[in-house]
Amino acid sequence: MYKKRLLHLALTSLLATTAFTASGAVDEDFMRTVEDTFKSADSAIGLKDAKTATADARELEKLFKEVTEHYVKKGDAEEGVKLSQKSVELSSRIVTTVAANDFDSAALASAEIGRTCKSCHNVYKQD
Amino acid sequence: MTIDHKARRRFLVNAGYGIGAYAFSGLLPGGGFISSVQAAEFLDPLAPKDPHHAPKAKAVIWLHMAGAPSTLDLFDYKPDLVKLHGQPLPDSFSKNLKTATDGGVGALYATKRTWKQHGESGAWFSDLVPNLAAHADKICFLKGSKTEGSTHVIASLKLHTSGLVPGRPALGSWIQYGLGTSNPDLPAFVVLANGRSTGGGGRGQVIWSSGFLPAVYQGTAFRQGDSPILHLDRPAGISDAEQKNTLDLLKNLNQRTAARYPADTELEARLRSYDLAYRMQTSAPEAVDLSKETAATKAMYGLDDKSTVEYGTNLLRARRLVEKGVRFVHVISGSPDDSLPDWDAHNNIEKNHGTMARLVDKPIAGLLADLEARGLLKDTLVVWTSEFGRTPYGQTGDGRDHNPWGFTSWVAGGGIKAGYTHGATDEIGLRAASGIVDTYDLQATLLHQLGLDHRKLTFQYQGRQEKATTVFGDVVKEIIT
Repeated sequence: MYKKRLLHLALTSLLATTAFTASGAVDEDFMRTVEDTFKSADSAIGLKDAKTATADARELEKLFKEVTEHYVKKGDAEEGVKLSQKSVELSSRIVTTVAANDFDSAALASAEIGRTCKSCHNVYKQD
Repeated sequence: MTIDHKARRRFLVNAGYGIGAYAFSGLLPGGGFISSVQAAEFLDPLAPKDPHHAPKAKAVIWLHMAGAPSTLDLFDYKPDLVKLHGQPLPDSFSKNLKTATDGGVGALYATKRTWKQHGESGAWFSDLVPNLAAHADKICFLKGSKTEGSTHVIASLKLHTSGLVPGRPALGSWIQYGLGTSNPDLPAFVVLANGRSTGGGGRGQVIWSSGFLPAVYQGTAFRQGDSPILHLDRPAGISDAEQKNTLDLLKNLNQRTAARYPADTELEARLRSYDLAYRMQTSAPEAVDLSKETAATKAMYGLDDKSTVEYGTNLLRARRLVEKGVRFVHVISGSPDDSLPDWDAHNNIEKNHGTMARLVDKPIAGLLADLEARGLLKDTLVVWTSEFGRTPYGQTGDGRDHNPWGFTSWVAGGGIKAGYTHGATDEIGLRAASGIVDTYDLQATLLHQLGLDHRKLTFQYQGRQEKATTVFGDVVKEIIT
């Protein structure tokens, strides 16, 4: 009986964890992934590595879309929505400028993402 | 004939009479063992390099207030905090902040200081810093400073290296890497600490490390006293002539070998490090020798007072080093006695800040006056900062907790607006509310004044192009003349 209860508890916990992950929680780990991806993209732009820069920028687009959804769901977070949407656009601009072999413009877009991140952190990041 | 390189290298190490120990000890700027892989970069890594744009400053004196002073008790006067003293922290101020650290959140705690405005700029100073207040019109306050991390280690790393974990280069290392040295006889990045617990403000060497940059760019810690660098002195019993003869012989042998093996860049690098170490046997002690300074100058730095003599000596040395072309002098404030560790006033802030402010007030005022009198302030960035500030709410009844969300730093000289205040904290001084300057921005601005673009100052490490301030940082244009 005790074993059955323990198994039930373990399964419930597992399902709960899975559900939490599947909901795409924008938590500290998620934001760390965003930052790592951004740093990789910025480096690739500097090194004129089109393949990596494009892959990272596409990944950033997806991640920032999730951030946007997070702030929409959260409510009362207009600034968060605005800044994450801006980051989606900037990520997209990296993809197009790198495709045109215009790494200077891609670097400008990347620097702007850095500013946008900082603006968002000033409001929402819990230190 | 086969040459035994190992035997030759053993000979080099053993025969250098002190210089050998120094050059191979890791205390040489960039010291330690030079791998053959790195050696090619080491041929003359400190040779002067062109800046990215015309610089407005030549050097930085970085005044690190280790332990984090409460700028609410020094520069950031908050009448509303006085009115709200004893009340709980209002929710409207703490939204989105993780305010609970070790001591929890106490009631709002008003400063006990008396305040006055000074100079034409009308900047506020508390009575803890009366000497510094006389220089109000030389200072640019950054009252919207902020950072990340509410532990000393993390925030100290971020302040100095733009990283939250060890491994990134300190700002002084990036500057050396970007500009090289303007005095080949001295390290370009020097660290001066006073007190007993100041191994990097308790954070250790990681805050002046060269990180992933070649070790030649690391900070060189000078000791107090006449012999500033360990293992640099010629051992007793060896005359200058004997040492010179030995080194000349080594040089001759090495040069012959180098001529036969022009691709052996490691050998060339070692030749240079022997040369530098020999030159520094004279130049380093001379740089910190204060015997030729006048009594008036020494008094200006507080060398005639027990409570200020150690810190004042470091600041006078800092001026001398900058005068001799050292680019970055990192001065760490430690307690003058064993009664407290540093500025970290979780309790009894009155005693702590009374002691620590007295330690730095007169010497820093002396430094600013001396630099200006010598025409050096226009080319030298004097930066007063700390890993974070302290909270407007109290802790343990008479102290304040760590505050990374809003505090004051200041900069003087080096093409920065004088008598100017940029940014502000909220009404109680909890968080930066306007003119927000993160540590990345502060670093980017200092690099800019030195002629370096923080986005162009790069180093490739593990396949990634690393930048001085990571992917963040903007030059604070509002504070530049």
